[in-house]
Amino acid sequence: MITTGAKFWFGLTFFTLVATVVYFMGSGGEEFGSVVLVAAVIASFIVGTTCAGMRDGNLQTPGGRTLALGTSPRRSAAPAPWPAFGAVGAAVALVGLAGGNALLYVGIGIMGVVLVEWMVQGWAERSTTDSTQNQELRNRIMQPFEFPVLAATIIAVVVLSFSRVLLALSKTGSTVIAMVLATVILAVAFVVAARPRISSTLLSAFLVLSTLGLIVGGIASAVVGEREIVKHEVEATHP
Amino acid sequence: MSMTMASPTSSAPALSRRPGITMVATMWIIAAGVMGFGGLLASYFGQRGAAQAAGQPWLPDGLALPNVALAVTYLTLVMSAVTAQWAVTAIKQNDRQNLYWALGTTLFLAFAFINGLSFCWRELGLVAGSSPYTTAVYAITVTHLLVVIAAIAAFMVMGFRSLAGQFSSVNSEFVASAAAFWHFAAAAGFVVYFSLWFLEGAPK
Repeated sequence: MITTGAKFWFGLTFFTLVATVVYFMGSGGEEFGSVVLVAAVIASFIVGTTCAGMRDGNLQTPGGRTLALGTSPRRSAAPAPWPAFGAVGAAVALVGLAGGNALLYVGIGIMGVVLVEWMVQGWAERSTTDSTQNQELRNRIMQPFEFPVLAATIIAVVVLSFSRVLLALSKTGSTVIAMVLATVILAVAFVVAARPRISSTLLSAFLVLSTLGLIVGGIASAVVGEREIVKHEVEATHP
Repeated sequence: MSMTMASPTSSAPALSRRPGITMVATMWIIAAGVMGFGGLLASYFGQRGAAQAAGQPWLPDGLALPNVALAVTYLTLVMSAVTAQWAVTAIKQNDRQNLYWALGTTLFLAFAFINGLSFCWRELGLVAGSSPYTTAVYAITVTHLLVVIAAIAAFMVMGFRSLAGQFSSVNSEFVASAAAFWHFAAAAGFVVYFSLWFLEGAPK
């Protein structure tokens, strides 16, 4: 019997094969697309054959009964915010499309991330009947990607927002703000180090609010625009 | 106080090990490799078709393909697929002596292929970047050479592990996976030979 996964891949093989024939005949024998489609036919057939040979990776009991991994009787109660994030991504992409700017790609990127996260969570929640183990499985796969990407994104947003603020203020004002912010960061770090028992909720709330404030300030500064910066003239050097 | 507890595994039905994780990973790599070579060859044929449509020569002037050397070189690689499968058959029968012979022969043929390919490159005398043809030829043949080297690495790891007493008729998945990747390298070599050399150097 052909397994469910194998049916999917063989179906893909069939449709790619049809697409190859149609493309080859319709394009008058164009070689680039035809070769790529032929490669897709072979690749999907290889994966389909693997699925069939491995019985979709289902476990077998000694009696020969198949325990399909997709028939877990219990459902995880893990929250799934991905539809909401997907909607945010779609909205950002629409705004970018209407404005003809880079927000289109940001929105597409958000939707791509949501798709991957949602698929992995959906797969992990059906891996075993133990929701804790499912969560650990999901974290083991995704967190090596999530933490670096999230950290880089937060750093980029903070740096970009703060640079907008500094560029919008006067030269003296930006110097003062930079020093004040550096002092605040140092003071908060000192407090956190001095009081290890500080509530993580309080600390998280402070960090989130600070970041949001910085982002709002950055957006407002971007709307106001940069101050006039006098360019330094370079004197021509004579030999 | 003595406690008698049944272990969780003693009452539950014993499940067989999840089948073929290494083989599944190998198959995914092979599928990705197929798409990779598909993209490279599509680029090659796309440029070739564009040059021919524009009435420009595709091969550099005066290029003489060493047809015999190329054919023997790639035939060597295809032959090694047979010896790679010999290794799988040997380990499935717990025949370690034949396994060693098969591994050694396969690696010997692979190094002969590399030697032959370097000879062909020298005979061709192509300079990468001098024309679209030469760039495409080096992109494809070097990529294929890297795949062959990866297959050699897998077979060498398998060889060392088998010399250490690992693998048996019930533990042969790594051997089968390495052989599957070797078959992919050989099949890719055949396609590369047909596309790059046979179509251009066939007797007219």
